[in-house]
Amino acid sequence: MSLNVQNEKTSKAGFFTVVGAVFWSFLGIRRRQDYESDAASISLKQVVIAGIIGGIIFVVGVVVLVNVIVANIGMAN
Amino acid sequence: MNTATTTVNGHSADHEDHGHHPSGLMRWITTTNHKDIGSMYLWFSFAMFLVGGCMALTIRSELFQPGLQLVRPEFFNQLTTLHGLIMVFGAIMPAFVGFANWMLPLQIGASDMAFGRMNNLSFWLLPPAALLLTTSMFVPGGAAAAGWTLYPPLTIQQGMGMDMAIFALHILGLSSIMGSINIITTIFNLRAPGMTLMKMPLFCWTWLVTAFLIIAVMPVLAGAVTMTLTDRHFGTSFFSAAGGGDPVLFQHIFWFFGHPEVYIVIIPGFGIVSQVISTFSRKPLFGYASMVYAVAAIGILSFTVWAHHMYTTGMPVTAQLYFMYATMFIAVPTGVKIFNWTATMWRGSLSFETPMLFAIGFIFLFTVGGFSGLVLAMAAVDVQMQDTYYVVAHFHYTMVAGALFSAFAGAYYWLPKWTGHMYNEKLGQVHFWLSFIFFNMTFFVQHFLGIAGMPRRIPDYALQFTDFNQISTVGAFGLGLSQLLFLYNVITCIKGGPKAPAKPWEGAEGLEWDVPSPAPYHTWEVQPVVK
Repeated sequence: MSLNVQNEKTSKAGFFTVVGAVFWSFLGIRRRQDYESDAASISLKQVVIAGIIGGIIFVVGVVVLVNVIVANIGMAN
Repeated sequence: MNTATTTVNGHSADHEDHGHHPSGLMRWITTTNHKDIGSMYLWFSFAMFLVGGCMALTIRSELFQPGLQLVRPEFFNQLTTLHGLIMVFGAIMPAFVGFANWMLPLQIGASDMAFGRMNNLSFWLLPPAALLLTTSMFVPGGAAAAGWTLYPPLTIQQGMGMDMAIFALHILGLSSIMGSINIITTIFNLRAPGMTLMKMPLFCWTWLVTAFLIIAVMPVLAGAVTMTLTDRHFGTSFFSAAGGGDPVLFQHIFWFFGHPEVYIVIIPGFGIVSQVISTFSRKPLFGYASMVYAVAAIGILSFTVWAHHMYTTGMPVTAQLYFMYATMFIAVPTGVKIFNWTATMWRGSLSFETPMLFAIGFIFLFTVGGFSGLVLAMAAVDVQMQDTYYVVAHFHYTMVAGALFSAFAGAYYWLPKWTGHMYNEKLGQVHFWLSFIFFNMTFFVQHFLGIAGMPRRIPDYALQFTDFNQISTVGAFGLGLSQLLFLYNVITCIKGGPKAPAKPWEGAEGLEWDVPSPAPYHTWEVQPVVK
């Protein structure tokens, strides 16, 4: 299913387009022009999968950041 | 946001009601009509709101003075527990399901919800659950008294009131999941031709995300309380340290449900407020796409922050830092929404009817609650604040302001569509101002109590906390009594009043305003075509 379901367009969005859309969604900001092209090209399945992967990357990223900080200030767990 | 124009295939909307209108008691018991079921959800949630509110007023009465005056400490604990459970599961969640039932089909041009009989069952599961919760006060040992979070080992030690609460939660969870399946299926399959997902009003989008959240987390809660049940009766030791279990495990499972639950009760409110602000600013919503993106992102990120409710349980420093950073990050997409609402109003042609007042009140109070949430997100600060009245103040600013004020905004906004009459505008505005003033009187002072160290969930306190507690109690009674104005306004609006046009608000957009007021019993039997 595409976000633009009525037109039943086949997905044309590339990997980086989807990644970009999910990244901006995590900030909650999106330019109207970009959003309109997202809506036309990205499929719902892509958004959901990319969103979940984005969530996992976010969690892993924060865990790495925290470990680096804790290691650098020399705090034991 | 829906800026679409519609045609109804040469069949005007007000000619669609073909006279099929059942009556009598059986109408309500057997109905599969989304409007009937929506109305029942809304009345049920308001009734539970009054029940939970009376419990809150008893709590506040006891806390008017230090010492024990009105209730025993055991009963006080039962009241705090039931107040939380009833308000979250009996009042707020059903209220928004009621809005969804009424408005989703009208907004997307569907003739009804996808699964009519399941819709009926979802509603009729609620009264037995409510009975279980409220009557548990009268069984030996009284109601559950471990707080709405139901932490062990307290839950393992209590009487049969706890079993009744567990069973009630199972039933309520089942009802919510069925409601969510219905909403998702309706949105995906029954939209009118031309109504693409990205043309849907924001209320539909927010409910779509919420429905997925409910399906994801209600089974987690069911698992947690079932494990509690087997610990109580069937010899397991999931949460009992004496048998090798871990009480903190429950907290992790509970809050893995509990934090997305916070968003479940608030996200539909975001949708309502977005539509109300756009209507009364007479401008399209600023950043519709951003709002959709941000709501979806919050849905995903809400699963990654749960242990910020548990900083004092003895986590490693790395875990505390992780949950602290992740929690602060989730404030970004939430903050973007505040900017979007403000930007929607910027240079708009504003008018301040009651729905708009409640929506603006929502923005102001929710921002206060968001900021105190950021304070609590800091692990080092939270150690001081954990289980104090600061936390009580924080989540009432998000829950009452977030859920209740947005629900009132939605109720006043759509009352003309539901009843066919205009409500009393003056009375609505008095309701808003009294609610706003008394809400702040009740809860703002609780920040000071918390910072000064007054713990939550206790019936007695040290003498120095008396003044703020008295202010809070007077405010609570004002807030509670103000809600009777709303009840009066709704009843008089149902009974009569100036006739409402199909579109009573000049700036309103969307398919729901294309059908007459009151909305006929059957609508969109012939689907509109959205251009």
